[in-house]
Amino acid sequence: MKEQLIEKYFSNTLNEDEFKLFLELKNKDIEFKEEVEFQENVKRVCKIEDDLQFKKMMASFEEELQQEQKSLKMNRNLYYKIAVAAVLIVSFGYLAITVFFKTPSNTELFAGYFEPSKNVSYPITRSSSEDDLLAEAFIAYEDKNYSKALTLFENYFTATKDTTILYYKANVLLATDKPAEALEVLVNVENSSSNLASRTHWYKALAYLKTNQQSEAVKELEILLKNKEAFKKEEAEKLLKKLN
Amino acid sequence: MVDEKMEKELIKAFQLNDELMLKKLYKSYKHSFVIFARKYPLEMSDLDDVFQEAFIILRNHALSGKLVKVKSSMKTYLFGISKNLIFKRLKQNNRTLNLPEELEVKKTEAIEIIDLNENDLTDHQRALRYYFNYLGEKCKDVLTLSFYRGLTNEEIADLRSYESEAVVRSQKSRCLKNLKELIKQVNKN
Repeated sequence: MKEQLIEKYFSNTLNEDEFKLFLELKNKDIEFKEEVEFQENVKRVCKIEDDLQFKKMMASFEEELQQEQKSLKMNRNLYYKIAVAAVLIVSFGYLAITVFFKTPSNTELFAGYFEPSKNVSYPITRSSSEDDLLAEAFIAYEDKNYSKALTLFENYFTATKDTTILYYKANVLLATDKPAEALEVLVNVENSSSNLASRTHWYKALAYLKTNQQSEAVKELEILLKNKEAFKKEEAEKLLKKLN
Repeated sequence: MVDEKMEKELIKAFQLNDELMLKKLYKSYKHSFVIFARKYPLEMSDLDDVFQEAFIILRNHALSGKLVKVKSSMKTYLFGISKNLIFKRLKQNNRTLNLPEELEVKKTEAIEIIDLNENDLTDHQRALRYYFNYLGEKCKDVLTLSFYRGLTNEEIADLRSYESEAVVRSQKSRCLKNLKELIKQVNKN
C-alpha cells in the first residue's frame, strides 16, 4: 500500500485523500519518509544522467545541422562557380561568333575597301589661274580638307566643264558620307568622255554598298571585272566573294 | 491556433526520446530561432548555447508535465525561454540598456529558466549518482523512464516489451533495492 502511494506521488496521480495520507505518513513514519527522500534523490540523479545523454544527442543534431549548412554553402558556391563559368562560355561564344564569324555589314565593307582616289589626272603646275585653283583644290583634297576641296572642285568644274574633276568630287562625297550624291556625280562621269569613266564602276559599287543596294553593287563589280584595265580588279574580286 | 494533438505528440517524443522526431524538431526550431534571435546583440556562438540551453529546459518542462498547462505552442514557449536566457546573458554583459522596447522581456513572458544541473547536487546525491552508474543498463533505463521521463508502468511495459505493468513495477523495486544494497555495502567497508 505504502509503495503504491509513493509511486502515485511520483507520477502526480494522488487524489486529495491519498495526498493527505501521504503527508501524514511522511510526517509520522520515518521509514516512509526516508523512502520518499531516497526516491526523490534517485529522481534527481536520473535527471542529471538523462540530461547528459540528451545533451550528447543534441550535440549530434547540431553537428549534423552544421554539416548540412556547410554542404549547402559549398553547393551554393559550386552553383555560383558553374553559373560564372556558363556566363563566360556564353559571352566568349557570342564574342567569337560576332567577331570571327559574323558577315561584315555593308558599312564595314565600305570602310574596308574605300580609299579616296589618288590624283592621277592633273599634274600640279603653276602656269595659269585655273591651274592655281586646281593646285589649291588638290592640296586641300590630299590634306583631307574635303569641304574646301569640294568647293574648289565645283568652282573648277563651273569654269572648265571638265568632267574628270567630277570623279574627284565624287570621291570627296564618298569620303564625307554622301554616297547618294556621289552616285549621281559618278553616273555623269561614267557617261562622259573622261578617261576615268571605266573606273567609276568601282566607286559606284562602293556607293551602292554604302546605301545598302547590294545587288547593284555586285552588278557594278562585275562590270569592273570585265574591263581591260587592271584598276582595283583584285579588290573587286575579293569584295564580290564577300557579297555573294 | 495551437494544435493540441500535435503538441501532445511532441511531449511524447521527449518522453520516449524519439530520436528521429526530436532531430526534426530541433532542426526546424533552430532554423526559426536563428531568424528570431539575430536581432539581439549577441555572438552567434552565444546564441547557439542559448538555443541548446533553452531546448533542454523545454524538455524538462515537457517531461515534468508543465507544458500540458501551457496555452501557447511549444515553439512560442521555447522562444519565451530563449528570450529570458538571452536577456540574462545581456544583463551579465550590461548590454540591456539600449535594447529596443519590442526586444524586452515582458512580465507575461517570464518563464522559469532555472535548470538544476550536476553542480547543484548535494553530497549525498553525488554519492547516489556514483552508485547509480554501477546499476545494470536495464535498471538505469527503467528508473529513468519512470522517475524522470514520467512514463507510467503500462507505457514502460509497452515501450520496452515487458510482459505487464506488474513486471515493470517489480523490476523497478528490485532496482531501487539493488541501489540501496550497493550503498550499504560501501558504507560497511
